[in-house]
Amino acid sequence: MAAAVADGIGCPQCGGPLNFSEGNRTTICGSCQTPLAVTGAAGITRYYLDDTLDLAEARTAARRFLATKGVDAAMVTQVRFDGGELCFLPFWRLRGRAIGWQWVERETIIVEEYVDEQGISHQRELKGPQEREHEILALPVDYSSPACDLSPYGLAGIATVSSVLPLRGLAYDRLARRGTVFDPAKEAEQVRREAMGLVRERSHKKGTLRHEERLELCGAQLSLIYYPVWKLSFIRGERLYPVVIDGVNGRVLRARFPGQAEIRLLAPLVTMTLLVYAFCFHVATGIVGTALFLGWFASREEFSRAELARYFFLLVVPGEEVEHG
Amino acid sequence: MAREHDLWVLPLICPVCGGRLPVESGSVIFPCVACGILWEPEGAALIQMEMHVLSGEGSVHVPFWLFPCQITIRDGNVVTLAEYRALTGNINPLEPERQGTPPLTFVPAGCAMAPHLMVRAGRLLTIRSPGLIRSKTFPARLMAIGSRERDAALMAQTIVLATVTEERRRSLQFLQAFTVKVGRGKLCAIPFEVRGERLLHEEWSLEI
Repeated sequence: MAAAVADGIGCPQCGGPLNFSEGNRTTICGSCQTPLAVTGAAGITRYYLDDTLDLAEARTAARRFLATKGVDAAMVTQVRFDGGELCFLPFWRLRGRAIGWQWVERETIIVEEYVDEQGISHQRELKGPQEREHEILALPVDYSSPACDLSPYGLAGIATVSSVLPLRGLAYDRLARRGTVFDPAKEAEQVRREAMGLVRERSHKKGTLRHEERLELCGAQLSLIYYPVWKLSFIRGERLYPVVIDGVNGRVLRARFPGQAEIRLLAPLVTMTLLVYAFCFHVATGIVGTALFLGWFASREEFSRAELARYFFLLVVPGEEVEHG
Repeated sequence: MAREHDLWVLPLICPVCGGRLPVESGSVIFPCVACGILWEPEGAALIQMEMHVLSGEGSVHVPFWLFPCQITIRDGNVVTLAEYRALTGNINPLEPERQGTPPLTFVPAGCAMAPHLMVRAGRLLTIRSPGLIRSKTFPARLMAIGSRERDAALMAQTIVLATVTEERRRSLQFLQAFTVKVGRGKLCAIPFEVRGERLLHEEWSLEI
């Protein structure tokens, strides 16, 4: 276990380690059994999830992943990771109740039966009168969203993980000594708006002509939860390849790695042989053969001296880079 | 020293008797059973809260926030209980001395209730507008309190609206003009009998 218990908030009575659960504003100290209330600035509770992998274990997880993804076995053993950074990525979690009313006006369809002159009965759909409906809404709100742009890390949400695993109370200075703690770029107010927007979207019904509503977010519990990831990188050739490892379960969240190299001997050898043979046969045949080859080459690739040199002398072609996550 | 970024943890120990306050999942206000006092964490301190315990038969006391309210509709303001009962279509007789009092909104404060049940329970009590008699004894069994006054106040408008007759609520103009202004809330504990998963108040013929 990489994390030290002392990095989180301890019991103010006995100093013992504390576990918290998401959406709960109380906890009981496991050591002295003191009941505790939990809060934070502006009512926002701040937690983090413990990382269960150290740097060496994160590198092993990355190496294991590369070995199963079709990268050269020889290359995997040669990979040398260049440092590694433990990052704590912030996620907003909002729980509460959306309470209010909605009023909808929607069109109705009436199915009418009629009999034609041949005595055959048919059905036709006609536009009916507009229907007006009022509804009292009382819906639970459970919303999770990254607190900043986390797309380079391949982590979209932590809703399930954070509601299952025990959380630690955030002591910023202590956590910042262990890794990079990202600041939330998204404001709490924006999270509330997004969550309510989602509730509104879900409460909309099909075929609605007009929709009006007034909703309030009640009993909102807003938490900021920091999730651990390992940011690793390795150099291959002249390129730097990043790998992001989930600090809780060792899953590779995002990676870019070189594909398998291709050894290409046949095409240049055959071309050379055919051209030499054509010139030996007759100079004119050789010239025509060369012109035909150049014409074919120009049609399939960008024609330049560099490309031509690549065709004849680059016998080992590096594989296409593979992106994961 | 806790910083702005940190989590704040406050021991729930009664400042009067030093006893541990019982905690339940989701509770935000904590009763001290020994002293009969309620405490609410506010920043780094515990603030004493007042709770009115209502008399009656019941094995469990359910917490409610009671807000005197003033309702604004298209036709004007509804400020008395008599006017409010007319708005809801309640034709039950009302004691003359209560007719001029402001209507009360009952907002459930128990943390074990689903949102739709909270609206239902609040609607039933608000529309009934029962007369309230206080008891001096602290409840032996009090449902955990999961709503603060400010959270409960946000629910008041919807609960009052739910008590208004359906015909009025179908009109968008009525809904858009409808607002509820609440006064200072009082925390009350109302006794109920537990019948399976339901709560029953026999005197008020009320089942939640």
